[in-house]
Amino acid sequence: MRDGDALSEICRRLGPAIYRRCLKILRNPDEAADACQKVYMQLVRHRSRLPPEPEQLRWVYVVATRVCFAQLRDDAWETASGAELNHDAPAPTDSFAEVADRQMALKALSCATEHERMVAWLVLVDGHSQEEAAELLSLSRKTVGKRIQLFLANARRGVFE
Amino acid sequence: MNAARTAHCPSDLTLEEHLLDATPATARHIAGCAHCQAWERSAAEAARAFARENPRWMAKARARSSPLRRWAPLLPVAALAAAALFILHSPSPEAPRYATKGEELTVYIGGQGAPRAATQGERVRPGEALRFQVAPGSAAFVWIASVDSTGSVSRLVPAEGTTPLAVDGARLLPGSAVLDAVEGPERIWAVISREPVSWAVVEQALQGSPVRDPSAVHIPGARTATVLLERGAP
Repeated sequence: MRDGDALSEICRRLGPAIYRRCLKILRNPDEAADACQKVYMQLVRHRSRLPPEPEQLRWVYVVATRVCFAQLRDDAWETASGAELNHDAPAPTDSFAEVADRQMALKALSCATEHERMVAWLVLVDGHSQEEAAELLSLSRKTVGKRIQLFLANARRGVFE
Repeated sequence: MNAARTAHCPSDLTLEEHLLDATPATARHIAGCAHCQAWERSAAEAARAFARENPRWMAKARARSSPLRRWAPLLPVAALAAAALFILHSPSPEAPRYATKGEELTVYIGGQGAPRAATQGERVRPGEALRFQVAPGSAAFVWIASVDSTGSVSRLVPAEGTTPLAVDGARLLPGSAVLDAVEGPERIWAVISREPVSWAVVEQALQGSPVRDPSAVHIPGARTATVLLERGAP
């Protein structure tokens, strides 16, 4: 199979998963579509050294996560506000408690560095174990543990002060 | 309100992996977990939105991998060769020129004239009704779905619910699908598995698949049987 064909097949097979990943983090369909294009560009750039098929989902999942957090960071710069994430728009079905929880989580996220946010997201939102998050981000388990602790400590401080 | 994730819930990545390559353990968990069922529903919804909003992404595979386009310059030669072969080896009247039906899936067409079993590539008309017979051999779970020329998936049997139909031996399935006036090829799929595969897995595997190339579809943990229909006015 030619490079282009293989890439097209990967896009068809993994496109929905990439979009879901971006939509979950960015919570905006247009921005998620933009992020998908960036992931696609990464796929094109790395097409000659992509991992074998069983590992491709994991690879694009991490790439999409990094792309989305970079996009959030850039958007925050553009709007000159570190807390300007897209997660503050409540869905119509959200209860008061869910909105309050989200606002609290936003406040906590806004205090964190990009690296802490990404680790916190993988462990606290996506439900990965610290070992899995470490493997996904090519970090040591110890580093992930430290970042989570730091994130939680800053979050508690931010919420209670 | 969405059910909260529990400590037993698989991670988002594991759920995504399950959509590509279903595992019995994850399927069992989802069957009893409101959070993961909601995740699966929203995943299917997002996949539909993605296919709707980004058709070019989904179409890339079809456009680029078309062997017709690649071999277009040789088509006249191939047509001449095929004609010569047909004249030399014309089939006997008893032998079908096409595979008449899938071994495990038979599509019956009714509504206008006597009901008939569809042949591969059979022309069907608006208003005609389809019924499906499957013969998985031993006890199995079955989904029936169709994919049109744009790669859009329609769920046919079972029309509702979260689990596939349990079938033991050969069985004419309940329910039917009536064809509307849309024209073009439509591929009917039977997805047959020993363990129940969720609709989200089936939908994702079929979404955007090239309607004329069944070899592009692989659903881990399941086997498929398929019949191609050509929809059009009489």
